[in-house]
Amino acid sequence: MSSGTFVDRIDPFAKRSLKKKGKKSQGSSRYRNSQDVELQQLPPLKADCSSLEQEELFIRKLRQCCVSFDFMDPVTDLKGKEIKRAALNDLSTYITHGRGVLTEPVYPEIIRMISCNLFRTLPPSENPDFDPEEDDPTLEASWPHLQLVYEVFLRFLESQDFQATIGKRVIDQKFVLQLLELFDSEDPRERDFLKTVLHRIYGKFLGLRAFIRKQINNIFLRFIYETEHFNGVGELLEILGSIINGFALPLKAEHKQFLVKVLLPLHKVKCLSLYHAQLAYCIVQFLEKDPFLTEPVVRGLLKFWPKTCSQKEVMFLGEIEEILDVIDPPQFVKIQEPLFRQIAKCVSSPHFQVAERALYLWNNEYAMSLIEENNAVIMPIMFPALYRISKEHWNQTIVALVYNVLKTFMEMNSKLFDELTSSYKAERQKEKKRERDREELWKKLHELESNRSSGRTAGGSATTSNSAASAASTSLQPPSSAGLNSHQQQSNSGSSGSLSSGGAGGDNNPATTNAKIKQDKADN
Amino acid sequence: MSVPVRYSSAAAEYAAEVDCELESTLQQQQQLHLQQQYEQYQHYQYQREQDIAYYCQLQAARQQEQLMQQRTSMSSSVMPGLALPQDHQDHPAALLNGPHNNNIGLAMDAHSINAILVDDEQPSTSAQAAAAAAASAGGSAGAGSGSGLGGAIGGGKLANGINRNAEMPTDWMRIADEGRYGTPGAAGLEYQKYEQQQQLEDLAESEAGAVGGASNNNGESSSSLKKLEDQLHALTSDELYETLKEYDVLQDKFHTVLLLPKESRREVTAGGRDGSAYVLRCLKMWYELPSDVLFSAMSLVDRFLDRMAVKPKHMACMSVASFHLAIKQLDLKPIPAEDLVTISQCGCTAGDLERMAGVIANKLGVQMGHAPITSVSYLRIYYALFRNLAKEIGGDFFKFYQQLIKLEELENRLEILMCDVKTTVITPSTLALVLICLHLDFHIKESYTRGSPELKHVFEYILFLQQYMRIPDRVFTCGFSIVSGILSHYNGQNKAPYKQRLVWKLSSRTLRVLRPINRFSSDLPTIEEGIPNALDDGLRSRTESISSEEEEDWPTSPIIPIFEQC
Repeated sequence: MSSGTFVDRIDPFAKRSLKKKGKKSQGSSRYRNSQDVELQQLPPLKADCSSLEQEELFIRKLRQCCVSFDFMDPVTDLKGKEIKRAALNDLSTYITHGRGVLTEPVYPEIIRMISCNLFRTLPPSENPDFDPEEDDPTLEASWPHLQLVYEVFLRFLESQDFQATIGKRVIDQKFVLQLLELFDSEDPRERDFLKTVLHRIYGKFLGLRAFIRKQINNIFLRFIYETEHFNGVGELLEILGSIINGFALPLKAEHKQFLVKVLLPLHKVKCLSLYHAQLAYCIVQFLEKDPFLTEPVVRGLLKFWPKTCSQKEVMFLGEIEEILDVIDPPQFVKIQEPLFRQIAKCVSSPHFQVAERALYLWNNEYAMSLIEENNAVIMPIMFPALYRISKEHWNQTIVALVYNVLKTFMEMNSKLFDELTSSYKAERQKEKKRERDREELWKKLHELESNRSSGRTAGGSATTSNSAASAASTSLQPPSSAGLNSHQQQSNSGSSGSLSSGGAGGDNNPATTNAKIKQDKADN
Repeated sequence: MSVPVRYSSAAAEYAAEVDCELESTLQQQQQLHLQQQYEQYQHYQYQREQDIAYYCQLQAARQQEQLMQQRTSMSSSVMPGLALPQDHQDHPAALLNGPHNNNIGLAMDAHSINAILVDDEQPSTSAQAAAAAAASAGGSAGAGSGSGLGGAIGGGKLANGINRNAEMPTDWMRIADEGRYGTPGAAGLEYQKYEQQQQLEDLAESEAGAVGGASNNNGESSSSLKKLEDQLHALTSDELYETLKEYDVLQDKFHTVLLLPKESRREVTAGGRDGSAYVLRCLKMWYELPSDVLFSAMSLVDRFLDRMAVKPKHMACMSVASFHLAIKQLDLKPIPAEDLVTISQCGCTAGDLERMAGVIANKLGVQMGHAPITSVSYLRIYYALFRNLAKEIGGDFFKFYQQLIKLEELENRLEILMCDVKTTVITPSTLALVLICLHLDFHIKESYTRGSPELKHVFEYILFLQQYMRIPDRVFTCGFSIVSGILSHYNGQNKAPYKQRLVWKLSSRTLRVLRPINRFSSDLPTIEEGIPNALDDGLRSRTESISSEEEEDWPTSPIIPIFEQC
């Protein structure tokens, strides 16, 4: 544990936010106070008697409660606020304990009162960088009244006198749509009430179920692919968990599509930590309903596996263990190879929490039984990663966990483990040999480079040779020149002879030459 | 005239034995094998008539030698610890008959060597060797020892027969059995052993230096298996035999037989001891140590268990301390005690480990820097001897041996055997020989047909080694049974029968995010599809959690049982 404590102290994710505000902020909806109405105290409703007068009084109180008050100013209209609060409490008690009080005329009045109080434009967040994990939410200022309105609503829906046939006329799609918009409230207290209210409506109004699911899908898709911001994802998923739990078998195609197209992509969003517990629960419920969905679910998770966010990766590993806990052995066989290749990567992660969480899967008895049954497939996948980090990982806690896993593998199948050890060592030796060969090759290349430099020196020598050749050529020129001079001298001698032979003929040199040629021909 | 009469009687007895074997063959063996046996018998009959006069001259010497060998064998069987005195007694006898015996021995040894190496080319020589063996046996019976000696011999044969039927030996054992009953191989092995002894005696002084070198090499080779193999390959068979003799003198010092209960609260059980052995094997794997560490450690563990009353709760500390001590004993780089304690999860402190190691060293008189003689020591010698044999045989068999018979594999299997306390009832020399025989048999079956001529030499050599190491047949057979059972479990890739309960330590932050659904608690009841929730209570009430989650079983107690037996 001391090691854990030390790890926590250096864990950046464990840092507490320094941005906490000195006081909680409160936001309020824009209330409609078109007229100054002073509320008058009305007599309390009598739960024991049912009469026309009580119905009229009931309606009058409901209408009184339609008036909104300004809670941003605590001292404004205290009397009126108190009268409304008392009236709401009276209504709640009357609905809970009264008998036959939910007469048909009352239904639209109740819904109108609820709509007047609840349906409002939610205020924009004061903190644009709102982080639900670190920052305090902006709470609803009018919560003292809103809470009571929600209580009345729940008492109304859960009353034994409530008749869905009458209620469906006033609780319609428009109403549901407006209710769903409220799930984006920053106030977790409100979202909790909304969750229960919507759950009751879904349970009682069969005709609205398809619409509700569709609208929830729309909210999720917008959240995933557009805004990545919606405060009530967790609460909506919690409702869906109870719905999925009750799906009839075999599952409808619509439901399977919801799983693949909506629930799985929900794993992509950055703020997964806010709703991961509820999401994982939904996934597991689907798999318990239909084990054949295991393969698409696991492949989907592997497809969306986090690459850079270690915190999300730890969450994914936790969800994998949840899935392994409910998996059927035949389904495990289908996904074991890609799954354990990913787990091998996690085991090798330099982030100690990812490695730690991945290794801890081997502490799960059911997962161990599955791994044992398929050890011939899984051990060869895991062994290189485990063996490598047993020597290399920087965190000693991880190293100790790796020993545990390797030891379980040895106990599982000693022969295969010995073979893997032997082949792994042989492979390492081959790698070392290749490395040595590569180094030798580079050394040879360097030697060749050196030889090439020596070749350039030889080139210089060649230049010297050329110089020598040039010198030789130069030395050869005098003999050639001498020869030429000798030839010229001979020519001059010939000319002199011709002149001396005859004075008249000396003027006609061509004739003399021709005559000489003729003589030569006659001699031949 | 008395001499010819005795020889005739011996011949008749041998013929009777052959007839019995023939009948047995008719009932149990294949037609082909029957034919082979019959051909050998005919060949022998022909040779006997030709060479009867020659062997009469050797009768007296062989009778005396055979009697001495029988006495040695019987004494060895009764009191294995008296091997040295028997060897010492042989020496003066050899001296007494030195000149004559040496001459005869040398001549015969030459023939036997030829028979082994070129058996197919000179069948007559093989027949002569077989006849000599028969004559010796007959002479022994006719030496006047009386019905007592004859009865003993008969009892032995009967016992062998029962063993053969009850144990259902492997093919090579069947061939080996046939060899003992008069096929040429038996005589060859006998003479080879005699020749080796002669050579060893003659070269005793010159081998002393080599033995010293070998000892040093053995110490150095523990750091690298390849280096060790190279050194083994460089040794001659004579040097290896000399090393075997030295090991034989020392092996009892490092070996003990353990008989542990299966279940007990106060004593260490067989499962507890085997679980500890397995933990040590894991540590050896984890720290990439040579096999010697495991064998040395288990020698320490077993001897300590034999001498001291160890409580089960101290077994983990004692075994890891033995491992720690073995590393020091072998002069390897020591592993910090803190690290050993952490990894092995033996549940004690580093100081406890050191003190326990000191106690073990003190009680067992451990000498640092001296490797103990364990089964792996013998295994390496046998591996080298068989390799030399394969080289002599040559051809494809040597390639077969090089490619398929790996020392690393053999050592791995020996480690598995070491993790089972049943193997302690066998001496290390026997255990190693049984293992390599089974290993050879396994690979030979996959690579060779039964009739290959090379195999004859291998099986003959196995018999020779068994006799050379003075391993009784029943002990050898028992060893086969134990080793076969353990290795079949290993080869079947089954789960180990013992399991250490491991402690998993996680950081607190990871503990907080283990299972996402653990943090999820829903108060919403299930809504059935297509059915309105008509049964809701009028009052709003929180229902119990739908998910059936089990709390994480985190072992936080410092006193955790280390081993559990399934």
